[in-house]
Amino acid sequence: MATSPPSASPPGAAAPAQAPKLIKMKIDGKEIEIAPGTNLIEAARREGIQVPYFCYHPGLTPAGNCRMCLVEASNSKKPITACTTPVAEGLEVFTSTENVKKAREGVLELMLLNHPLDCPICDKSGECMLQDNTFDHGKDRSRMVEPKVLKPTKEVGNDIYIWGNRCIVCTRCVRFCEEIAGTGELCVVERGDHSTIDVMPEYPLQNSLSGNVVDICPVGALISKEFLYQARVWYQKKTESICTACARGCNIEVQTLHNKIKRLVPRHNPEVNSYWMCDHGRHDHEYVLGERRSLRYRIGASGSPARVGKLLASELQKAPAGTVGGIASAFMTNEEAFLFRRVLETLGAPREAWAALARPAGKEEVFRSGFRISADKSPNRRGIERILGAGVFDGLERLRAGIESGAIRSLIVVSDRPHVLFGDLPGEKALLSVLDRLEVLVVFELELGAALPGKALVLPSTAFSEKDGTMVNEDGRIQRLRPATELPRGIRTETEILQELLSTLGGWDRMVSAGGVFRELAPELGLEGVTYREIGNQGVPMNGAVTR
Amino acid sequence: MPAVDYKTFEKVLLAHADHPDSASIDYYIGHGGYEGARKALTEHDPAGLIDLVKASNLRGRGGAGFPCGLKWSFVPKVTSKPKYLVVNADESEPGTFKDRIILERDPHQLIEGIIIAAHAIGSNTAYCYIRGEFVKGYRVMEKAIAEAYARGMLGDKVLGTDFRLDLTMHRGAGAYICGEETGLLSSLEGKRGLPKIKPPFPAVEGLFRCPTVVNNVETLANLPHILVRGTDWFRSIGPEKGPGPKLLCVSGHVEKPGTFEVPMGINLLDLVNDLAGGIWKGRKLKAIIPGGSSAKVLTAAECDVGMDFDSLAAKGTMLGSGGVIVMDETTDMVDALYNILRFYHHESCGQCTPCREGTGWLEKIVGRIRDGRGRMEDLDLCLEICDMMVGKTICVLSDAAAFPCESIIRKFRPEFEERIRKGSGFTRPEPRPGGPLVQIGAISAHNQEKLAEASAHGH
Repeated sequence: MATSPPSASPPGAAAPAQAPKLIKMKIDGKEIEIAPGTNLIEAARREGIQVPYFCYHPGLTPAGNCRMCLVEASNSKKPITACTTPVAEGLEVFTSTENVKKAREGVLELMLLNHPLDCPICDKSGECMLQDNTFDHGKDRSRMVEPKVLKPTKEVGNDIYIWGNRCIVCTRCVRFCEEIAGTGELCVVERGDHSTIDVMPEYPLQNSLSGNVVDICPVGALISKEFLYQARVWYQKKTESICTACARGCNIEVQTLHNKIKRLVPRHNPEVNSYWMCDHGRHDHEYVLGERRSLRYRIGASGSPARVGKLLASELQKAPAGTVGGIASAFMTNEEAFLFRRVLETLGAPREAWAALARPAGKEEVFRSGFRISADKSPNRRGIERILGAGVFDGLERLRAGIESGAIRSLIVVSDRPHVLFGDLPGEKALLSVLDRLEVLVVFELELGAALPGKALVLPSTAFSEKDGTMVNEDGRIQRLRPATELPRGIRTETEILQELLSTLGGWDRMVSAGGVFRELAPELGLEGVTYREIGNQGVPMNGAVTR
Repeated sequence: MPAVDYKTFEKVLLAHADHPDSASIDYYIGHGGYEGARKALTEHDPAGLIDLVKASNLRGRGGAGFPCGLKWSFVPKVTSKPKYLVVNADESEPGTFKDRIILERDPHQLIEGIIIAAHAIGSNTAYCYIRGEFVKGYRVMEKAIAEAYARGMLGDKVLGTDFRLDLTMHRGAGAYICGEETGLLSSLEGKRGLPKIKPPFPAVEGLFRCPTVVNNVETLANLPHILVRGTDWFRSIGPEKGPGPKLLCVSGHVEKPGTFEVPMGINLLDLVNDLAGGIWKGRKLKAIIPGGSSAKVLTAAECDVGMDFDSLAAKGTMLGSGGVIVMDETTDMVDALYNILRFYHHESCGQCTPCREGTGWLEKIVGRIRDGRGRMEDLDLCLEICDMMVGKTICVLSDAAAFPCESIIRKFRPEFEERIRKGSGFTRPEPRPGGPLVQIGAISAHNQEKLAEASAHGH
């Protein structure tokens, strides 16, 4: 996946129209050629040289205040900060001379001077830049015998706390709120070694991207109440996946401990979400193991989950061909949707009886950096439209009429959105009145509470963190979800059950993984020959996709 | 090089400062004022003016000593952005009080210099950033500026030419760091006065990201005289590489502290012993800080030196802002250093790690030594901390804190070691009954006992 090289210019700066002439310079004696505008940290990184830093972040304008990235260069008697210096023709940079090593040691000793020894109780431990840099470049003990400077701990807003004692005043959070969110709530107050992060009275941290400041804080100064004391990061299992709170499809990492989701954090994807994710998505996981989660199969006394696919096949074949309807969901993966369509086709379900559910549209939010929270709050609308047909999200009323008239006698519904099925939306509620007319009703539901007729066969559906599959975001990009939490014992995935159902009906010859299903459906997405390997963890654009 | 004798040197910058009407425009014009600006505007184009000031070898008087004409020449000649001239009147270097005199007593001299500098760099907008504590200077300047506008020295047609210049005063709010040029520009823009990374330098990207020149008050005050009396005259005053009249502020243990206008290159001992009346109370000299508290200290034996940029640099210190702080034999160097470090700790803006943490640590350590709880290893520790602070920060406040610390500990080490060995060697003198405590300098242990004896006898 080609990504544009990060540069020293502020985010959002336009890339040059044609390839610029490369700059020749030397790093640690090695000749390199590099695009102009690249800062020295990135240039060194390309050569496999790690220049340590704290305040630098590739998604923010450099500040140059931590002084950790000091390197020696041929154009200056004093060491220079690599983060603020762009590459220059003929420049020679030295990243590991004695002076540089001493400078790093000095910066670390001074940074740790008033830093509390909180590691045993600090959430950041294990993913802390101060720990890592000290281990690599610093000393193991402090020489200060005087009392440390103390600063307050307080909430700054949105359940985020600043632990003033730990703050190294790198201003990453200040720059984030200013440049990315555009709201500028966080600022440095006081001066000298009493400097700390705070908010102005009546202007607490309130923007929808606020959770990112906790991610980018190099130490444990900015703490999220949600994650406070919840897990030691090195015990967690980390899985790369996609956020399902809206159609942006931010790339995330799901972090779990003992199979419980503890935290969602963003992954870098320059084509989708840069380095960030919004707070809505960040907190959109409590339902996975929440109290309302549907975890029981209600398939009659003789039914068993292990053979439920066969049971469904026999039930759905009771009514004459052509009288089956189907309701899919914009929360299904492409693989699930593909199998669902095959089931409907095999049962002869008429196209007018195909419908799909989505989360009601919400508010679009656009931030200063261009980061967008989509108004479309469903993660795979485009995938469902591509696989099941463009009008399928408007099909509920037509389907209801079909059931009412008796044309449709069986219905299979997959609802894997956290909501009460047929509960909250007028389009869905209208269906409740006609459900009794159905002979066979099969429902995959995520949350309890749907007022279903007693004869309905109810199966638990999978949540996003249990799915293996792909989804298409609003830009037409195919991205991979991976299972991060294990299904509760005995629960089977829709992918598995639908394959079993299909093979019983005669429309599928063997059980495959989600990747195997994708191989079948790839040509329909304009991705002939593409497998999960090519999709990787950055995704690929679908045929005819819009890339921003 | 024919040395200009300080004894016969006729004042240039402070020629009229003692006259009661020196601040009025009538007095100023009546004594040849604004003639230099008129010549600059009518006889020189900007490029020629820059060459003229380059030829004069005028070096900045704010502390860095950078050649003035050269700094002007860095401003891009062709740009669509407005250019700004900013006057640094945030005089905050401890031991320095010379700009104050110009601001309060001869404001029109400064305004005339501003006109010349603005014309040279092509600026039509000038700001004078004055430290908030200079209330009198601010009021005097505001009045002078109003007079200048009324008489056509400022505004749309300066001195009847097509040159337009607006000058606005802006008051600071009590931060030393706002005297650093990029910190000053940040403050002028309405932000916290945090210095910016250089490059880019203000001449290219300064105030509001436009080309800006920041000049010190005294530097600008020299310009009218250079225009009127010529570069040959200016270069003849003191060393050729850094000539001109110089305002030197002498404070501390002298009979006659004050600001003296002398030719560059005057011998420091002549300045102190002759002009400033010598060490007071018949005591002996111990040390002198020659260029504001950021300059490295000179022991008494090292004070036979010319007061100019290059001579002092060769001696391992600097002319800086010209704040000469004189210390006599009774000075407790430990307490003096503590006082200096307390200042830098208080004034550090806190942006970068070495200065933010280092200034605090140094104050704590030297404070401990001063209170009698020092350890021998503290001295080398301080020197190591100074090493961590020099040359590694966004601005030179860090260096400015490290220089006095490193030089005082190094040159007066036995005194520090004795203090550590003896433990408590300092107790605050009791307030004299019936009078305020007048603390000029700390009293060394030796004289403590004398004091104690004296008060025991009921003085």
